[in-house]
Amino acid sequence: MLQSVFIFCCLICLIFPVGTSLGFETKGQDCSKCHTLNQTEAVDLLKNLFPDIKVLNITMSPSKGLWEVYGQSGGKKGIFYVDFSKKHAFLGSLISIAEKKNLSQERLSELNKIDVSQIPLQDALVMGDPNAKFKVIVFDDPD
Amino acid sequence: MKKTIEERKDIVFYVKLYPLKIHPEAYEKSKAIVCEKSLALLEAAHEKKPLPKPSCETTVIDENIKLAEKLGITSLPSIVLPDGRVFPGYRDAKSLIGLLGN
Repeated sequence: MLQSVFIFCCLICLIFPVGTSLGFETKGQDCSKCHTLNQTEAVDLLKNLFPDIKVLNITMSPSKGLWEVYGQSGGKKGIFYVDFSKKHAFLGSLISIAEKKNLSQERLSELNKIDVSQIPLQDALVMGDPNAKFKVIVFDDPD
Repeated sequence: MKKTIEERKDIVFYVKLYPLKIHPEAYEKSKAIVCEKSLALLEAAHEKKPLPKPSCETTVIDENIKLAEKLGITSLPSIVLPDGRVFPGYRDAKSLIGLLGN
């Protein structure tokens, strides 16, 4: 049973190659059925580029045909994009043209969330009403 | 920031000074500002006006540096939203409100 599902998926992928991603969407196919990338595989691929890579999370990116791999290298966390062919990767920003939004930045902010309670505020400079609903902390340099 | 708090009374900014090593004078300036707890001095610093010498001894700035490094904050300014999301660079009132929701 599983085997025939696999063959069916492979056939679909052959008929609608990655390049024509619209084919997927209009046919309502779920890319993750045909394409998988697990932790070990992602590490194997990316360690060619970043020998100390740690993969923290893998998900399908908003751009069809790319995985978003959240990883850590050289003490820094970032997003790597890997294509379905597993031959190409890029580091950079994915932009939503319609929304004029940097989707990579938004994802990174989401993934890198910090615990705000560990930031002491009693010594901070306060701009606005200290009892306001939204408390936004700004790290700034006077120069 | 000024414009944002004028537009939105429900937003308050807490400014933490984090002098970067590439700005050698920023450390002393940060101390001077923190000693006086003065937004006016911060504004003066941004306008490249000379600042008085720090009027107190304080470890606040050293603690801020340690904290920012621990949190992985590298670019300045960086904003931290109430839910813990960190964004590099300052945002104008409209896009900040968009990020905060409602």
